[in-house]
Amino acid sequence: MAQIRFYSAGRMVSVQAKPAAAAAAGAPRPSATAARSLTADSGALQGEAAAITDDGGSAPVAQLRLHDTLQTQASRMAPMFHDLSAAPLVAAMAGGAAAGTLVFTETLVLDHASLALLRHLRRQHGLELLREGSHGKCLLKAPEGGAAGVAQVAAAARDAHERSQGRSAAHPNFVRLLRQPRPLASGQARGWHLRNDGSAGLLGADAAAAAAWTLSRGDAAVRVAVLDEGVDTGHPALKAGVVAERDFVDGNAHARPDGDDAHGTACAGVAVSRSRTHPGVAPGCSLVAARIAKGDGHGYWVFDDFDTADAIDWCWDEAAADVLSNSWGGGPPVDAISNAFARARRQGRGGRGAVVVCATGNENGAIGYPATLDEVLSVGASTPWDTRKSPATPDGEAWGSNFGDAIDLVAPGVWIACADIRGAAGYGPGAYTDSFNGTSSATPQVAAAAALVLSLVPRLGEAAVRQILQASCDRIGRGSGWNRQVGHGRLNVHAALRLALRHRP
Amino acid sequence: MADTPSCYYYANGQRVLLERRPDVASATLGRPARDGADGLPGLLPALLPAHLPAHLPAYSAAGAQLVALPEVRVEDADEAALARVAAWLQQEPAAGEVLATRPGRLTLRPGAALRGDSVAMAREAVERCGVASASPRFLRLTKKPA
Repeated sequence: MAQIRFYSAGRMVSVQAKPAAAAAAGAPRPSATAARSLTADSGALQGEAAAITDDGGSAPVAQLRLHDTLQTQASRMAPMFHDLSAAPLVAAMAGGAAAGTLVFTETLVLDHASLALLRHLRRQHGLELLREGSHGKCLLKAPEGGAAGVAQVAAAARDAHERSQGRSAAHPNFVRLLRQPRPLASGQARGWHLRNDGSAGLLGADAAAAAAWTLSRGDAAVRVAVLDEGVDTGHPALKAGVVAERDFVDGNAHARPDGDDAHGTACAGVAVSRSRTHPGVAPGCSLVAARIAKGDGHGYWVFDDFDTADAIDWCWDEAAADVLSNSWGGGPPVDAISNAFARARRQGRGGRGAVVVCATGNENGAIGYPATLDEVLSVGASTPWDTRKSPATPDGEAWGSNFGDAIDLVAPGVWIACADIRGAAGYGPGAYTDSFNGTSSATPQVAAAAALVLSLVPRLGEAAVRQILQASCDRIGRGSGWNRQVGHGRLNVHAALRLALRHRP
Repeated sequence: MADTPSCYYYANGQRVLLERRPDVASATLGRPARDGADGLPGLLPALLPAHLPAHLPAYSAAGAQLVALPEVRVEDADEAALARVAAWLQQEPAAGEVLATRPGRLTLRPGAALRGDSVAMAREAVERCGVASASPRFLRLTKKPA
C-alpha cells in the first residue's frame, strides 16, 4: 500500500495505491460483458480530487486481469511504463467497481511549465521529456519503474506545483479503466431521470427530482397543462390530479385519446403521475389535459392550427393552467398559435404569466416550431451519460435531440419510466412503460419543474421561473455557459427549488 | 411543384415560404385513414368548417404537410386595422367575407377571387391592410414521435 499525494485543482489529494497483482491474484477473467475501455489521462485533472476515493482498490481490481487489459494496447501503454509486464499501482475511483479504476503510470502531466521548471524537474527528480502535447502540455517520465517511479512522479508533481505557485498544473498521468457504455435495456434503470444511482450511465446524471421532493412534491393549486394527442384521464396514476380536460379535436367532453395514441398519457405521467412506482416530477401538482392532435394511423399527427391556438387560450384562461407543456411541433410558424402562446405568457396566472415549455424535436437537426419562439423554454433531451442525445450515444436509440440557437436546456430523454395508456395498444402491455423516449419526455420534466418552483413561490412571474430553471442547470458539454447543443445545461430540479427559495418573501 | 412567389404568408412579420402541393379533395376529409395518391393521409379532424369547397389548397413546409382550410384569423389590437380589412372585403366581396368579429380579431373566409385560398387571403390582409397578423387555418400533418 502506498500513499500517493499530489495537487489537484489547487488542493492536496491523497490516494491509497495498491499493486494490482496482489488483488488480482486468483481473480476470474473478465467476461465479455465486462468489457472495459482504456483511456490515457494526458489532459488536465480538473475536479479529480472529488473523483478519487480510497476504498482500498480491491473491488474493481479483483474484477480485472489488469495485465491482460494493458497488454491489449501495449503500443500505447508501453512508453509510460519501464516494464509493462510488471504489476502497476492502482486505485479505485469514486463509486467503486462500477465507476472504474485508476492505473498509475510512471509519467507526469505538466501543463504550461516554464523551461526553468522543466530543467529543475530533470535535475532534481530525473524526469525526462517523453512527449509534447498540444497547448503547452508535456509528459515526463520517471527515471525508475514500479512503485519507486510512481513515488518519483508524485514528488515531482508536488514540487512543480509548489515552485510554480500553482501556475503550472502537474499531476500523475493515470490510465483510466472505465466501464464501456452499453445500450440500456428497458427497465434496467427505472426512474434514472429522477435519481441516477449510476446503474444507468453516470451517478448523478439526472434531473435531481427525488432530491427536490425533500423541498416540495408540488401543490395541487398549481396546474400543468399537457397539450397533446389526448390523455387517459381515468388512469389510476393521473385521475386524482385531473382538474380540467377538453377535446379540441373531436369535441368530446373528455380529453381521452383514440386507439394507440399513447403519447399524451406518457407526457402527463412524466409531469404529474402519482404512481409510487412511476412517479411524475411534480406528483402533487394538478393536471389540465387538452387534446389537440390525433394520430392518422400512418405515423402522422393531424393538427388544426386554429383549434390548437384555441386550446392554448383555453389552457391559460379558462383552465387556469400555470404551466403549458408542449411535446409536439413541426411545420412553419403561424401567428394564431404564436399569439396564443404570447397571451399565455403575458396574461396567464392573473397577469404573472403562464410558463410555456416546448420540445425541440427528435431529428438530430434544427429546432422545430413552436420551440423556436422567443420566451418559451425550448427543451432538448439528455442521456444517462449527461450528453445531448444523438444517434451516436450508447443507449441504443437511433434518434437525436434537435439543437440550435433557440435551445434553453435539456432534460433526461431516454428510457423514461412513466404512465402508459392501459391495455395492449400502449407503449407497453400494462398501465406503465419504462421506455418513453425523446424530447417529448424531457419537456414535461421541465414543465413539472416549473410547477414545483411555483408551488414553493407562487408569486413568481413566468420570466423569473424561466430564469431560475436556466440558471440552476448543471453545466454539461463544452464550456461553462450556454451552448447550442444543450443550452444552459441539464435540468436540476433540486437546484432550481433552492434558487427559487431565495425569492420567497 | 416548385416554390412560386405567391406561395407565402406572414408570421411574426416575416414571410413564410410554402411549397405548393396538389389540391386535396374535401370529399376525402374525415374518411378512415388511408394513404392518398398525393401522400396526404385521408383522416382529418371531424370538426371542420361548414361548406367546404370541392378542393382545398395543399402545401408543405418545414417538414409538415399543410391543408389550407378556408378560414383566416386576423388579429390586431388596433381596431382601425381590422376596419381596413372589413372595408376591403366590402369593396371586393369576391375576395371573401367576414365570418365573425370579436375585439381584436376577425375571422374571414376567402372568396372566389382568391380561389378560396386562405394563404392568399392572409397575405393580402397583411400587404393590403397592414394588419399585425393574419393566419391561414392549416390542417397540419407532422410526423408523430415514435
